[in-house]
Amino acid sequence: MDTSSPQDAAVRAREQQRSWYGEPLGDLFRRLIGDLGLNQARLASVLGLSAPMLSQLMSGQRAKIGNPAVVQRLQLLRELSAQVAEGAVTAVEAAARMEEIREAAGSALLGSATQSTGGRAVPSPRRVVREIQSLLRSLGSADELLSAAGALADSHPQLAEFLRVYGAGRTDDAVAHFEAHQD
Amino acid sequence: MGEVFAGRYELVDPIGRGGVGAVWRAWDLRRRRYVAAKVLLQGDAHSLLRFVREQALRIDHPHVLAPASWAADDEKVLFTMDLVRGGSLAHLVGDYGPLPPRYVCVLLDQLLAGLTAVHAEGVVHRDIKPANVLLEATGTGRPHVRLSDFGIAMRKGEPRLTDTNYVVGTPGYFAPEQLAGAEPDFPADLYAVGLVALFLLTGRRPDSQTLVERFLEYGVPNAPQGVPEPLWQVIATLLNPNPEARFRTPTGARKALAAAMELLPEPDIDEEPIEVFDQLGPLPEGFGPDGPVRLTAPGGTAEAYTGTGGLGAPVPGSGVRLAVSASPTAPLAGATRRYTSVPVADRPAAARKAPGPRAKVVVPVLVVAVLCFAVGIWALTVA
Repeated sequence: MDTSSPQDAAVRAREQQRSWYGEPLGDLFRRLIGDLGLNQARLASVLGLSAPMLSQLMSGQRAKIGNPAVVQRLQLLRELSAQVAEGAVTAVEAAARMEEIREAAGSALLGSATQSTGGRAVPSPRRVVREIQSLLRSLGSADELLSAAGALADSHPQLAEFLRVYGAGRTDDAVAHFEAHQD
Repeated sequence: MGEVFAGRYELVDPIGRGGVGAVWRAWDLRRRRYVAAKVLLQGDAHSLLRFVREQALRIDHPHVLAPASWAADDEKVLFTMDLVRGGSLAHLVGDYGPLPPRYVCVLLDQLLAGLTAVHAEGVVHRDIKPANVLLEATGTGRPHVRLSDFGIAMRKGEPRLTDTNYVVGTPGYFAPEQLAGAEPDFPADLYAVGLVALFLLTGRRPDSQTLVERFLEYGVPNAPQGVPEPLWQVIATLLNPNPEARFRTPTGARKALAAAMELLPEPDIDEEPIEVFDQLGPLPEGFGPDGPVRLTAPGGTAEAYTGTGGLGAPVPGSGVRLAVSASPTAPLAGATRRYTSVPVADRPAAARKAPGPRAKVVVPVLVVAVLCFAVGIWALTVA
């Protein structure tokens, strides 16, 4: 940044944007907003930018998109918006696709909610087993579960085994049972 | 106008979600300032347990954002914190991608300073991740981080209250020993700081599992792309899968970090400066810098609502909700809302009651506390 006025700086930033992104980001973002039926906040969220950053890029207060992942998402959005304009993609499909774009390239981090490991793709078998055990044992004592297993033994032997192993057996046996029955 | 909670906090607009419940910008009628308020909407025991633990934590440190006070009404509980406006490290990397190493050193040093204060209280945070490290809106000045969200923090050595309690946390920012189910301990927080460091320097979510495998197979891996060697030496010590081989304390890590910073190249002058924006946005209609604004007449001039600071909590005897508002999510009605400050003489007698917890509030909270203990003891005996 040199001593030129803010207006000059914005003009220069828009020129730079034209050379980097094909057109000034203000024009590009406005077109995406129109074609894809978004507002600024939603566009920012799909791109993984904060609202103030989006606004600075649009006004030319800032020239460059610093995050390469955002540049990637921007490219995907441009392709999508072209397809919508051609009529090749419906609005509903576009909405679903935008959700994918938002999730792409590491943006998962932007969610601030703490998730429980119950939502993990692959929780460890031992943990799952512990959850099942604690659930069962909150419903009845080991003796009750064993007697329930006895009652089921003839008609539903596999369910009876489940109750016996998770309700009254050792954790290691339950883990073995769990692993044996995992797809 | 917003809902007034427990006669003291007027909810303004939602600003995020924490591990438990929603976080609102709120106006503190008594102290006459904006605060962040975490509101728990549901009374389920598990969330409430986390909530009670979190609000009980008081750590006073410039780089820690801990609860300041709490309040309860018939259906909800709330606790307040300073309002931090600059978003989180996740926002910062979203905006700028990989951050310059020297800038990262400043952020890490402050995060570790905050963590030192947390550990000094005997507390393991257990949920350090970019979204939980907030920033003051310092613009292009020196950044200022605040470690927040103590929803699953535990005192070291405190018994786990339920069997399922320890599975909470954030996938991807767990230390390997945490995944294996070890008791919560300080080095796990240091591991998470190491992952945060990698995230800041590379701009992407670190792959903890692959890192652990590399460590176990080949020893310390080479520096990932974008991570300067001196800094990697520090981060790799934080990321050692063996908790014994990490730094013993955050202070140890800070010292190593300061030494590494000396060896980093000077910053590139052409870089566009990093600016930590105010992410909160303008106050909604009906609120000004000095609190809720009351309109004297339709289309008339607005004047600041002076609150009832000197008069004690304006709590009608029939209930603690003062404001007339459908729900906190309802749009804030602008000029049409009825919010007239009642002359003191016309107030119901109950409105002049001295501030402080009332039986209506104290009893349910005590009941809830007893319930939590009962659940805990029950869980321990069953386990």
